[in-house]
Amino acid sequence: MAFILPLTVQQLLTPLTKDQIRQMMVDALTTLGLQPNNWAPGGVASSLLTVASERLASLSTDVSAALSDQWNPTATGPGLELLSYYFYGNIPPQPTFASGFLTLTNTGGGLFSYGAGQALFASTVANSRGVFPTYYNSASFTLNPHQTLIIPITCTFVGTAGNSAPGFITQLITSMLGVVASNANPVLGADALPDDDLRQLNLDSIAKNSVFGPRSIYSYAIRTATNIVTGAPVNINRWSITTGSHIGDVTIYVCGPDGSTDSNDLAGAALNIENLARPEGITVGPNTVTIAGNTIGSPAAASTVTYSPGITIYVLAPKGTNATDVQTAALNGLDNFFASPANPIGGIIASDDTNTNFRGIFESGVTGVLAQAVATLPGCVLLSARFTGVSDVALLASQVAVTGITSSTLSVALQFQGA
Amino acid sequence: MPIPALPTIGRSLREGLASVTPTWLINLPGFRNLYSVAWTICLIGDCLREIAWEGQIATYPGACQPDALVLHGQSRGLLQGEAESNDHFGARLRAWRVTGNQQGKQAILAQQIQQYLGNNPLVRVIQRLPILSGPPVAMYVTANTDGTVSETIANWDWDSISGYTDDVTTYVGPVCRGFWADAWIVVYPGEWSIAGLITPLTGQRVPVVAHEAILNLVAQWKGEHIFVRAIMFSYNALLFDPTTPGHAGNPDGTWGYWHKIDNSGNVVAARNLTDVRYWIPAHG
Repeated sequence: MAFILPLTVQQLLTPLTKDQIRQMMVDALTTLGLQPNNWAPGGVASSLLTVASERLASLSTDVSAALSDQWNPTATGPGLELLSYYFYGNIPPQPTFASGFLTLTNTGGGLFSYGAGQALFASTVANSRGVFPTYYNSASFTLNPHQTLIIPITCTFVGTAGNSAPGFITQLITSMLGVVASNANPVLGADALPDDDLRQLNLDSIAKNSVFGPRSIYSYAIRTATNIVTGAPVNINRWSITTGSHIGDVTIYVCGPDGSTDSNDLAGAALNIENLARPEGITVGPNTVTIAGNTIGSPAAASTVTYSPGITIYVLAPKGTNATDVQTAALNGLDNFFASPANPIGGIIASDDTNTNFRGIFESGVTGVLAQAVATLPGCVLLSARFTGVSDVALLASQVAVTGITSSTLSVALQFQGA
Repeated sequence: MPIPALPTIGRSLREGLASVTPTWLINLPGFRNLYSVAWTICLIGDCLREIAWEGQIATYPGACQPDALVLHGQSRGLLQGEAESNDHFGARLRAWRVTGNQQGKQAILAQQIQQYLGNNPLVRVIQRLPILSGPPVAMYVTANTDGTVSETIANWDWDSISGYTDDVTTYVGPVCRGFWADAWIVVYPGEWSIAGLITPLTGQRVPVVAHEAILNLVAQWKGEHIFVRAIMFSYNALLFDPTTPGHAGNPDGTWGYWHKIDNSGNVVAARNLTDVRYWIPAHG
C-alpha cells in the first residue's frame, strides 16, 4: 500500500488493517535488504512484526475514528454526540426511562408504606417486544385505609419500550390487599436518537438563531420539544411542514411511531415552535392550544389510515425453515416500516396499478419492505407477494398510514431450495 | 490580522530512532535485523503521524485538502458553487454561523443561488406587498454581481386581473393582491442555453444536478411561510427590474395563468415566453 501525499480524505478516514500494516513492514524490510518472508513464523523477528502490526492497527483505528468524528456525515455514536454538543451547540436527546403517575385506590383497611423503589407495578399490555413493562415508585409513599393517592412511577428499563397508554398499568406486583392501581395519563420515555436523526438535528440547528422562519427551524423545534407535563422529550418521529397559504400560514402535522400523538407532546411541540421558530406575523396551524393562559398556534396530530390488505408472500427458503418464523420476520419488518420516517405523513408520490400518480402507501413499496424483512432470515428470498383488497391507498397531507396487517391476514407459502 | 500559522509535523520517529542509536551499534552483526524491525515500526508510526497531522489540517476549511470541502459543506449546510473556487468556498464555510443565522432572509436566498450558479448572475427575490389599492407593488431584493445587496419597492402586478389557482383553491385578482407571502425569484441571465435561438416555446437545457440543487437551495434558504410562485430565468436584463417596471414584457396583472383571452377573444400566452423560462415549484 503506497501513500501519495497529501492523502485523500478517504485515506484519512479509512483505518489500516493489521494485515496491511504487516505487509507494509515486510515491504520496507525487503527494501532494506532483509528477507522477512523467510523468517520463521513464531520466531522473535516475525512475532515482533505481528504484534507491532496489531498494535499499530489499533492505533490507526483510533486515529481514523477521531478524524471521522470531526464531520457531521462521518461522525458516529458518541463522537457524533460530542460533535453535536461542541460544534453545533446542541444537547443530544438522551434515552429516558418512561415515567409518569399512578393512582392507587385503597378500598380496604390496610396501611401500606414503601420507600422509593420498593413497590413494583406492571402493565397488563405487552410492548412490541412481547414484554410487560414493570414500574417502581420513584418516591416513598404511605397509603392509608380508604385513601386515593397519586404516586410517581418510573419504568425499570430505558426507552419507549416502557411506554404505557392510560389505563394499562393496573397490576400490582408488590402485594397490597384491597388496592387498585391505574394510570390516568400515558407513561412515556424516549429512545436514544439514531445517528441519522442526530445528524439531521445538527443540520436543522444551524438555523436555530434565525428570526426568518426557515423550514429547518421548525424541524429543530419539534425534535427538541418536551412533553409539557412530564418534561420528557416528545414521542414524535414524523412531521410534515407545508406552506399553508399565501398569507404567511405554516401548516404542520405530527405523529409518533404508532401514528398517534400524545396531546401533551403536541402542546410541547407547539410551545417550542412558538419559542424558537415562528416569526412575528406568521400563523402556525392548523390548530391552536392554550398553555398557561396563552393561546398559540399548534400543529395537528396526523390522523391514521389503516393499511390492511390481505397478503400472501411466496418465499424461497432453505429446507427446515419454519413458516411461522418467516411470518414473524415479515410482520416485524412491516411494524418497523410503518413506525419509521420511511413511512411519512402524507405518504410518498408513486403510481398505482393504473399508472396514476398520487400520494399514499403503495403495494410496490410494501413489497420492498417484505423483501428486506424476509432477507433477514438466512437463505430466504421473497419470490413474490400477492395482495388482495385495496393495496394502493391514497393519503391526504394530514394522514399517516398504520399497519393493520396481522398474522391472520399475512400468509406465507414456502418453496424449499432444491425441492 | 494575520492568519494563524498551521501546525507543523516535527521530527519523524525514524529520525528520533537514528539519533539515539550509535552508528557502530546499527552495524553490529546481529543487531542490524533488530534495528531494521524497529525502523519499520517507526516508519508505520510516521505514516500514522502523517495521517493524524493531515487529518488535523483537513478540519480547517480553506486550509484543508479540496476533497475535504465536501464534508465541511455537508456539515454546515452549504453547497459549493458550480465554478466557485476552493478559497472562496472556504471563506463561506468559515462564515457559516453568520450565514446560517440568516436562513429565511430574502437577501441570503438570492446570494445562495447567485453563488451556486457558475456565471454568478444577478439574482432578485421579489416579494409582493399587501397593497390593496393603487398600483400593486412588491419589495425587490437584489443580489448584485458585485456582491452587494439592494432593496427597492416598486410596481409589481402579476395576477391582480387574472386571479390565480393554486393546487387547492381559485382566487380572484383582488384577493391575490393581499398575498404578501408570495415571492418570485429571478435569475439573469440564465447560464443555460435555450434550445436554439431565444424563441417562444423552446425549452431550457438544465443539468438535473443543477435543477435539484437550485430547488433544494430555495427550500433550505427561504422562509417556510414564503410561497415561491415561480423561479424565472430571464434572458433580458430589462425585465423584472424595479427601475423599469413598465417595460414591455413585464407582468401586467394577467400572469396568474399560462394563458389569457386577448381582445379578439383568442386564447394566447399570458406570460412572456420569449425572454423568460419559468420553473414552478410544487406547493410553493
